[in-house]
Amino acid sequence: MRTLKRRLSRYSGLLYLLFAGGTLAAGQSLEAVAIDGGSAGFEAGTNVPGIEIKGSSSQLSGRAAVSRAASGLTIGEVHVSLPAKSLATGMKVRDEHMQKYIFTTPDGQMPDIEFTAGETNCPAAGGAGEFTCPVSGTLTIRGTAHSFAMNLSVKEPAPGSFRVSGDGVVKLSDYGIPLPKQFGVTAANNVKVHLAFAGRPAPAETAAGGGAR
Amino acid sequence: MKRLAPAVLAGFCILLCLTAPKGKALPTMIRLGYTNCSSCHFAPQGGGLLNLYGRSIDQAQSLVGGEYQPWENDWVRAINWGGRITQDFRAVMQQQDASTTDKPGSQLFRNRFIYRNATELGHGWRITATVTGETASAPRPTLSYDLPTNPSQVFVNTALISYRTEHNLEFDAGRDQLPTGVNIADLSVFVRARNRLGYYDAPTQVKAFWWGKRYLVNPYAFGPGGNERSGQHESGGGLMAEMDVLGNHRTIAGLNLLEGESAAVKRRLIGPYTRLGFGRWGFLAEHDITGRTLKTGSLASFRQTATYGQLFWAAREWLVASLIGERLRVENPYAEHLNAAKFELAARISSQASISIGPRIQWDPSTGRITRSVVFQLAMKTVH
Repeated sequence: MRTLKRRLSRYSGLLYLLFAGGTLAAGQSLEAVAIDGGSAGFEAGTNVPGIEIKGSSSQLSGRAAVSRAASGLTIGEVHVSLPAKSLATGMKVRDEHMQKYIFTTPDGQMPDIEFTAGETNCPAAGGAGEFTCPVSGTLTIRGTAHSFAMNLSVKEPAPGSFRVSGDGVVKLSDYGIPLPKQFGVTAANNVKVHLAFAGRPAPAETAAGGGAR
Repeated sequence: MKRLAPAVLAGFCILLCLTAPKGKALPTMIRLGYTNCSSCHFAPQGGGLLNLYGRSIDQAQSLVGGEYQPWENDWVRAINWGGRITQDFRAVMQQQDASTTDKPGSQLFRNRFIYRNATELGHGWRITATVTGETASAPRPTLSYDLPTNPSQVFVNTALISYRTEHNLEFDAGRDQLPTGVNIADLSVFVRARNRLGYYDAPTQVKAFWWGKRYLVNPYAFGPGGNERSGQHESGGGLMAEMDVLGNHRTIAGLNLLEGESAAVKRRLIGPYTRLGFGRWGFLAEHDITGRTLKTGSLASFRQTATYGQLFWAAREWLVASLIGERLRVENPYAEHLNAAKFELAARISSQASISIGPRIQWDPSTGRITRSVVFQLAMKTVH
């Protein structure tokens, strides 16, 4: 099974470029962008003032295809994923609760958190090399997919390299997740999420034959 | 007699720093985003008994770790009045060794036994009490302008009746320690010991706490506790207020203002403070400026500044190391100049037991006198 996954991953970059490229206008060149070591953070309020649950992970990874147009950037497709187990709040027991009550499926699996989105136009923002991307796609948490939108702020300090950050709100109820409770403290339904990552030109091998193993 | 000899002052400071009770409030929890004490303690002022949620965090933050499971049986329900009473017994044992330039070293083993009770009466009413018995007393330094309150082998630290509304507003009346900035558990630090916040300072008071996600406001008025020495029965009032400056639950800045007056002295305190947390580490600081005007004798007016800074790092959830720096300046005619540095390692073994060790060095630049000390402490409590 693992071998099959590796093979799929090996060719996914190529297939991805082929399919994503099909949606782009003629004349636009497609750049494959790799995302590795990005960070994802979340912040959930509770019913008790003074108690807020924050956590983060630096294992955000993924890929995107980017092309340029006169008015800005076009993201052909984006796919990012995050191992649920990598999210940490600074307290072991709280992490265990989070994994158990939020990310574990009824059959005991803990799938990665994944986000995919189709083509998005990113008009130029204020400064040079700055763009705003209203990304709308699908977020999958513990195997349940639900539509999710967030605004990404993109900076391109050097050709082909991007710095991206964005904020959004995840509703636990959208994923059928009961609100976690602990001795009178109940987490809020709305969880703020923040993403920050750098994208760099994907190595040729990645684009043609998959990423690191 | 007005100016105490530096050696005597140093001696009192040693005694005080060696006999400080610890293991009460934990302002270092700001590192995990706990902005105020009411999250985990019954009292919004902090310290004292933990509520249910606080006990679960106490357990989670210990070496043993794991889930907190409250005791549930008929006997426990009977002694806890169906869950209305929270109580515990606590024992604190300290071994203290100290040496001062040109003075013989000293050793002291000291025990303190504490009973704590918080009884919920319903409809928002609560009674809180803390009673301590001890084998050796630890009064504040004896300063001619600020005599310590009388110690007692059995002492009622807290006796409060409280009313809390559903909107994070609480009113308290009774005897307790006065509100203070960073709320460091160590009562020997200059910002506490030199501002009438010693172990036996429990003035009669009324106070209110109003707090939200980003703020806490705490006005208070106080009168004598009854155990003050002649001329030192102080009355007054104050206001403490703090806010989460950046709104990220990790950047608290606050100010404590107090004015008090006794037959002997009038004092005004302005105390800015901060608690900053950055995940595994953080920083606590307080700077108290106290102006005193004597009402008898020389009628002198003079200023005292006491500064406290603590950089802490949680190597593990249960193991916190701290570097602490302190500074004390007192103007003429009671001029005094002390600096101190301390390293502290505190380990929470389980929710019932914690240990700490804290070597400290204090020096007086004007006399060159150096005091070295080390305290080893074991604290245990019942948890149900």
